[in-house]
Amino acid sequence: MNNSQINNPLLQFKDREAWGPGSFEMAFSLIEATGIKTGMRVLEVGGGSGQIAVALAKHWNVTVFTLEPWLGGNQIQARAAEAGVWDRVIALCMRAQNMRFADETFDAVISIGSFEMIGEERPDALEQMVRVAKRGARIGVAEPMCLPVPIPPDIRELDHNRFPDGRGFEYHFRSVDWTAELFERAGLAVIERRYFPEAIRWWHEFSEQVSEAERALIHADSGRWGSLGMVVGEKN
Amino acid sequence: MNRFEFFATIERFHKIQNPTSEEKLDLAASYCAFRDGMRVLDVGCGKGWLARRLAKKFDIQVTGLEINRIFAAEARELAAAEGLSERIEIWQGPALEFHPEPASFDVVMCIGASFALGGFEPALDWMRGCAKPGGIVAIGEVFAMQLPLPADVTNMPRYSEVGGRSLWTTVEAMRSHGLMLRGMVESSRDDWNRYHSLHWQAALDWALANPGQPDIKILTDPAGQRCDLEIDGRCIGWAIFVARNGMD
Repeated sequence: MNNSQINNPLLQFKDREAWGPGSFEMAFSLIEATGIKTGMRVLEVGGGSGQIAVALAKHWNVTVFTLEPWLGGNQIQARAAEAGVWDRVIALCMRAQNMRFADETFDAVISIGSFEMIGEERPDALEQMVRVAKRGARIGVAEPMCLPVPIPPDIRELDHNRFPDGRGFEYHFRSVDWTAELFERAGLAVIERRYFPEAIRWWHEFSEQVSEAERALIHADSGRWGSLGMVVGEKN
Repeated sequence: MNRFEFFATIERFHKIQNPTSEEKLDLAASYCAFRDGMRVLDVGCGKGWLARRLAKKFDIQVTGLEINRIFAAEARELAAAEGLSERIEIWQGPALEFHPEPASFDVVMCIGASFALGGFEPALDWMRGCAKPGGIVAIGEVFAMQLPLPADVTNMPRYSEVGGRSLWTTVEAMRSHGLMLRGMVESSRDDWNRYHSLHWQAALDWALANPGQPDIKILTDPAGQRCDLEIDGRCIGWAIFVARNGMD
């Protein structure tokens, strides 16, 4: 654990359910970079297991609206109740592209390991994320991203074997620069863009819980192309 | 006994098939601000008590959706008996197979039947989609009165939709879907007791009239009655939430 993670309460969970590589580690950096503070109203795009939303509510004392379009919000809401933050986590079965929140509702918008899954509709989703953010609010994503190099042929083959429909890592992952440009096109002032130097380790740790085929891909790549990155922008 | 026959059996004494009362439904209706000329959709209308109540008071056109053919037939008969067939149409089938024109109804109601639309949140989206902008969406729904709920409660299919959704987070979820609360009517323990008492009477009568039938076990399941007594109205609440469709 490096210094930046020493005070990370997200790593204190006994039964962490990370749905992606480095989720809890990246979350801590993203929470700091987006300036999340007590009393804020935060939107999380991609709730996953709900543990990050619950930790945000509990340790940062904020209200979190978390969107989980795949599994819906019931499990997250129950988890929030168990953690005693039943009234500060609102878990919704909703896609970012279809958000109906009023304009300028949130003090911060975050997405951890999820924004890339929106695929080609990322510009629409980001437009909505910007719309619902207050002026001055920060919007950030931290997720699997690729390095700005062509995907190695062996990794492409493994990826296509895993996802014959073509919707694998190559389809979803984009570079930090690509994401930052998307942010700028959406009218955000990019204030932070970077890759995580621990990405290879976090990918390898995550590979312990995935299928054999995905593990083989992660280990074959080992940071040649796949990485983890973060981009944060501010709404003016 | 299939699912439809089960509910037809245990709700044969019910006029109102939810834990509420005539007075409370009238109050909820007042929050909907019905006027003559409105088009109204009632998802999961059951025997159509509310549809008839409204159609008697207002010159409105009500479309009731009901999957249970026994209830749908009764709803049609009762509407005809009260001379309301011109104002009430009962569409029998799965609600999700009914495809209304977008933004075509002034009031869209789903009183205790969000399961017919895939659950609470999908129901909100579906109802919002066919309600006019500025129209009314009214949903009768369960919520958690105590949190966290006992683990055995959250694992029961009967309460699968509740999760950890409190009264407040229910309203916040509605607002997140663009539905602004303008009225709420909550059930009391008496409402729950009246609702379940009719279930128990119907189940006992059926059991006495059909000795030896294997379905008696299902109808008189003590675990179900224990939920009626210890969970409903105590851990789990029910309310009708009346909301405006958007702020446009």
